[in-house]
Amino acid sequence: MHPTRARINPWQLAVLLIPGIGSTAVLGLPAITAAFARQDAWMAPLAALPASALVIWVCGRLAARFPEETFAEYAPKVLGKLPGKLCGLLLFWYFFHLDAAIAREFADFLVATAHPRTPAALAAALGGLAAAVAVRHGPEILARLGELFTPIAAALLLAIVGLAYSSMDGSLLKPVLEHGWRPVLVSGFVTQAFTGQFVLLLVLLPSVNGVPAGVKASYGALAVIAAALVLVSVVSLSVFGPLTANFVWPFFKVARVGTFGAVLARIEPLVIGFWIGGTCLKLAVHLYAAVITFAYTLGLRHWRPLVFPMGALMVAYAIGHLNNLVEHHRMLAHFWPPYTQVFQLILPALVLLVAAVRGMGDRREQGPNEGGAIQDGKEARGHGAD
Amino acid sequence: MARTDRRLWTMVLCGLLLGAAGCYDRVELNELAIADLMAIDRTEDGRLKVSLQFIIPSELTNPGGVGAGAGLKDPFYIMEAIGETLPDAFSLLQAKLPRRLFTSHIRVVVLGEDLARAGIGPVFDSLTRIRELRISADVIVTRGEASILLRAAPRLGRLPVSALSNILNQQIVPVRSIREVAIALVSEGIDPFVPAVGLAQRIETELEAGVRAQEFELQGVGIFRGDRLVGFAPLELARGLAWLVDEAPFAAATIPWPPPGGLPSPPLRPSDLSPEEMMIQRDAPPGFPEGPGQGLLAPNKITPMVLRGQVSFHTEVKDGQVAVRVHARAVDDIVTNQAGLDLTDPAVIPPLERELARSIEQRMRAMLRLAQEELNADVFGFGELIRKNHPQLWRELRRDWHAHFRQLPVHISAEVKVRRTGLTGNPTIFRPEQLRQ
Repeated sequence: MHPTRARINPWQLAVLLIPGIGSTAVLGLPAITAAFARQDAWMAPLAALPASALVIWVCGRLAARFPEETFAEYAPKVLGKLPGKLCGLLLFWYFFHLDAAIAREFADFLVATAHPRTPAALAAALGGLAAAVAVRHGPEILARLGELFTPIAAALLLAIVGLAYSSMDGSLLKPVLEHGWRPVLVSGFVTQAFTGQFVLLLVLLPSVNGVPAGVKASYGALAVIAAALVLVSVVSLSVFGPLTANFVWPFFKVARVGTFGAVLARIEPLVIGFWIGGTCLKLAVHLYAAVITFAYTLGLRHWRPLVFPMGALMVAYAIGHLNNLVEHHRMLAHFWPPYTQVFQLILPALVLLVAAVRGMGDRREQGPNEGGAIQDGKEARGHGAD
Repeated sequence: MARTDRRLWTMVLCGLLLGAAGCYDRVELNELAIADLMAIDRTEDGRLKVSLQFIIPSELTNPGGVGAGAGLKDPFYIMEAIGETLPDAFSLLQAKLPRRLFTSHIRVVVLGEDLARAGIGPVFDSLTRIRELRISADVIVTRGEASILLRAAPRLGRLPVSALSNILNQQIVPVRSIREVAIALVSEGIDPFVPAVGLAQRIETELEAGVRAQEFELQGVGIFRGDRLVGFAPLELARGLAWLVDEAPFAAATIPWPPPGGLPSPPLRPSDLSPEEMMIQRDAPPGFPEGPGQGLLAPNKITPMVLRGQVSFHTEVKDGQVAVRVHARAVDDIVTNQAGLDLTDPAVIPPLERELARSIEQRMRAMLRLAQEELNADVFGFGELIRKNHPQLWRELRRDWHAHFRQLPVHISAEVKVRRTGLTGNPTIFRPEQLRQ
């Protein structure tokens, strides 16, 4: 079944995107941005906002031009068969690589904090298996999971912040802009590698009821994610000050200091809980994106049989492609930001530009092309449904 | 096909649920040796001696007090190991333990004087890196060997660590956790300090003879420069420190009244007793005609209780020279007026408030002098304050901050409001004509 047969509503898209993008960033990102911007790291998510909004806009324009089609289907039409397929494979590689990085982070966190004697491979494999089972049920189920999980995660996050309140010292955020705007912009660039993951919309938007509403919901999700990241950064920085950059997962440490008098303390199992839920969801969304992109690039009829093999490969790559946590975090801080820009912004923008120059695809407000576009959509649907 | 598929999946998923409980990685409570108090010392050859106090849960359930002494054992015991690093010592300790060492419940870390003077930086790497340790544990320092402190056996409470952390939580001096010390170590322009605790002098009574009892005593704070202990501030100065870091102590600060060189005291009536009468009354409170209680070392005292204290810090730059202004505001209740001040007269309150403010200022100045001139350690974080308010200026000062800190002008002022006078207005022990104005 072509994924565009599946229907999710804009609200579901938003609650799927929030953990699907924000869950890994919440724990680790403040340490990475604080390494660059020190006490100004809380501004990094704000600095990343314009570029992330641009990603959403580009994805939205593409979805408006090619409704009910995923990137892998219209790229060959726009760029020509071979370059188009190549772009599809590149996008697939991005989703696959990112998914492996998520699985790695998942395994490392679980082993480092809760299960020291569990093999990382087992942790990653279990996460991957749970994600794969969910993906096989299609985007609607993922969206349902998002609806189920996101409100709980938000409540837990706020609870942890509330409990840490007594340990917070706002003056640790001063001086503001001690070294000017440059470090803030650099850390914003690093943050963009996370918030730019809205490129997921290339795969998800075709399944949403009404592209404009979906785009609007995505902007909303971006606002929520940015607000959550600012909040988490402010809390981490005001609890740990200059120590923030030294911790691997500062927000986990925040949960360890949080107390409510003598009644409630040491609530880090909650953090581990919401991390597992959110990260599995993020794993699933990206695995889904990788499978869909791969299947339609190669013109396969069915994508479901690919899910388990792809998940297994992803887990193997996650465990194999890095030797240790140090490499992983060096990669996230230094290699990842420029690298992901290629896939998150440049690739879709390129396709959109060529499509605009060639006048391809439908834009609802342009009357004459409308008929053709619907035709395109039907064609695509028929092609996938067999 | 589809049905078998689904059944198979259901079974697989149910199987996975078993793994979700994490039982393969479990450690049962009765397989743990739970440590609650850790002392770290430096041995003479520069290694670390780590002493851990372990809880014996079965002894904890013994009712304390009932039949004390007979068959009641301490619910804790102590083990030590010497290693090159903290985890090194832990693993050597583990070799002597029949249960798995569990350090998550360590609530207080005691640093020995030798170790503190040699530098605590290396130990703090382990303290923040090891997964099991909680960085919210409190840090204290002790004169001499830290492991001696583990011998305390307070009479109130079954566990020494509870007594210790309750003493700390009274906020007589500011308390510092591993996290806060680590922040001070890594920050520019601030030196760490931690409370100093020792063993109290034992009072032997006949009833208690043979009972093992040894109390903790808060003795002030240990002051560090960088990661090295450079000196101790006694309890009186530690209260000044509490003001200077805006963690006002819930403590009394007695002042003399009338203030020295201040208000004139009313003239004392000459004694009209004959020498014989005076000899007879030798055991009575001396000086009865002047007022009660003159036999005390310094009877004319007023003691306030600080209810709320708040301190604000400002920096100002004049001709490239930076100065710090510290202004403390406190709300007090009077809890003792053995000087016989007429507290029903609203007019006496303003001079009293000024005098109380002066005593707070004096405490702060004394602490400041100790830190600036004697120890040269910026435990107040004035450097950090300047960095926050004048980042440009700080770039020049940071290189040689401790030299600048020694010269830093700090203007201290205080303002006290007396709100209540305790449960009595006029002192109950004075007759009206004995009251001072």
